[in-house]
Amino acid sequence: MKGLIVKNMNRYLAIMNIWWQRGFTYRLSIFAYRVGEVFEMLVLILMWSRIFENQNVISGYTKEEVITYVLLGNLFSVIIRSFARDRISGDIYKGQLSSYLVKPMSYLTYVWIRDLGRAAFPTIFSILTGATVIFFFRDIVVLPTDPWLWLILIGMLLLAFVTEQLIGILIGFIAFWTDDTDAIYEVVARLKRFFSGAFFPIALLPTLFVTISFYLPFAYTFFVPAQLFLGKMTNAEAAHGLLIQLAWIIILQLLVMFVFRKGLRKYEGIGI
Amino acid sequence: MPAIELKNLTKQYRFYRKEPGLAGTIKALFFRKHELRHAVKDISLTIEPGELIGFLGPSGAGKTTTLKMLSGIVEPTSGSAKVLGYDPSKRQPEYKSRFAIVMGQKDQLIPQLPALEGFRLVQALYNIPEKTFMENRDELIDLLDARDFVDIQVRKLSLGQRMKCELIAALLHKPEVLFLDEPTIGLDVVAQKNVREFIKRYNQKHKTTIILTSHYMEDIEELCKRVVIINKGSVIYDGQLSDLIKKHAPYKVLKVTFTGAVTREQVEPFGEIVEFQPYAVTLRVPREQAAKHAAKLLNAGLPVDDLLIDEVEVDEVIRKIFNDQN
Repeated sequence: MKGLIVKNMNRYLAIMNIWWQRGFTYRLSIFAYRVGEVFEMLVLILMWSRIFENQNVISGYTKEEVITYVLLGNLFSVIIRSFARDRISGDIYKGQLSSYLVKPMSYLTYVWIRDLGRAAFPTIFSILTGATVIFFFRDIVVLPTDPWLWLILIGMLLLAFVTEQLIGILIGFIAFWTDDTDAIYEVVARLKRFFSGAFFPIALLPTLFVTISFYLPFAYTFFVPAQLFLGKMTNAEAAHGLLIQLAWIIILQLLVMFVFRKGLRKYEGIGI
Repeated sequence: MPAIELKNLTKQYRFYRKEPGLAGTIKALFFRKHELRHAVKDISLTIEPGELIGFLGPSGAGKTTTLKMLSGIVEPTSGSAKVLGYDPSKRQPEYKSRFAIVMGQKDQLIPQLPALEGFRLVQALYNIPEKTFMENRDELIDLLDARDFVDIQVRKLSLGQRMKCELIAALLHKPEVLFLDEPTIGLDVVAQKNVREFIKRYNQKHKTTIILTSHYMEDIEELCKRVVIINKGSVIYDGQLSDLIKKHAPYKVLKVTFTGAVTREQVEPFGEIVEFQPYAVTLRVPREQAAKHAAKLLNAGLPVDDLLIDEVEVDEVIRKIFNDQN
């Protein structure tokens, strides 16, 4: 497996390079989207600042901690986000998938390489803007010094990236069976945002919800890494989370392969 | 050993009928009556390496479905297909590296980038070594006269230019077998001619086995000695185009122009009148006697300016075959 990756590295890099270029042609939209996101982030901070005018602590969070939570969480979620769904459902609807099926590279492999290239430009741009905003709040945000924490954090973000990709691919595959993937995507996206802690720290919810969300993969895209960063979670607890992420990745990967096979049978190249 | 072998190849599709209107929509949620349709029925064919053959037939005849089965995109319901010794439905990478299919405007290229970048993508997907890639690419660009527009965004190109780029992309890995599905559809006359010229030259130069589907008679006439006519999923003719004409059109056409006006009565004895004008007449005569009739007409003392002995329009022949079928 490793040999295969090394041998094919040039091909993969070439594909990523091409999709990077294509991403670059959309720089205006990427800029616009990012402006919207930063705006949303600032509104949240404003809202929390107001809420904290009358109290110093809410459920164990100080005002500074909540603002750090919003800033870091946002940065994490843009690092790991996936663009796979759109491309895949587009390939299926337009019959473009057929032109990939006749090529000697597996479509599942190609999808990964393509999306790494595709996501590179918007992600780097998002990281830069996210870091800039954090810089403005540098008085509030305190960087942890524990190297183990950083290691676990980076590992968690990597695994979360893989998870997001797999979920995006799965949702994209729904296009094999229905014309209406947008609705399903919206529902899943809302659930994801809720259980990821993007709206507010999950710890504010009843214990049952908190427990459930720890066993779902979504919390590791925002809430858990942010908690770790804030020092509200021990390394041990976070490492436990890594195991749950790994389990989900295995499940999702198996699902992807299964659903793809089933979907291909249904796909009769009608788009052509 | 044949390059392509089809044995009793069949493809059935299941489809649903929906009754019109709101009641029909609701009913369709619970009861759906499905019907079976034979897109391809029992096709058997053998194609030798280097052949350039045409699949001709009306829309919905099963031409594209057959190509899809040969490419591994669609699995046959029954029967078998073998291309270069491979079973396409197994979708082996070794097979995929040896054939190519061009389907209408299904882009191999990325619309927002120039074709040159798209070619790089193809190179990566097929793992073509750099030197081979450059040689093939440059040869194809020259053959198709595309140097002027391969560095422009694909979506800004005309249909004809796009088609040329698609052809280049398909041939970069030098496939031994090439499937072209309606390659000239939507193109203007000049572009059509260019594409046909290219296909002919490429086939002669590289001995690539090519199946071309079309519903344009000119494509088949220009390119294919052998034609397979498909209608309603079945092969109704497989053979030389010239034989087809001889068999189904046992006559030839005399096109005569005159320097002085003539009457119907004057030209009637020499053949069946297809078109009549005082200065130009088209006559239909039995094939073997075409020369005799022509000679008689020339010696009849009429003010003949020019006389042409021509083949019947292949279009007419095909139309006749389909009409007879129905």
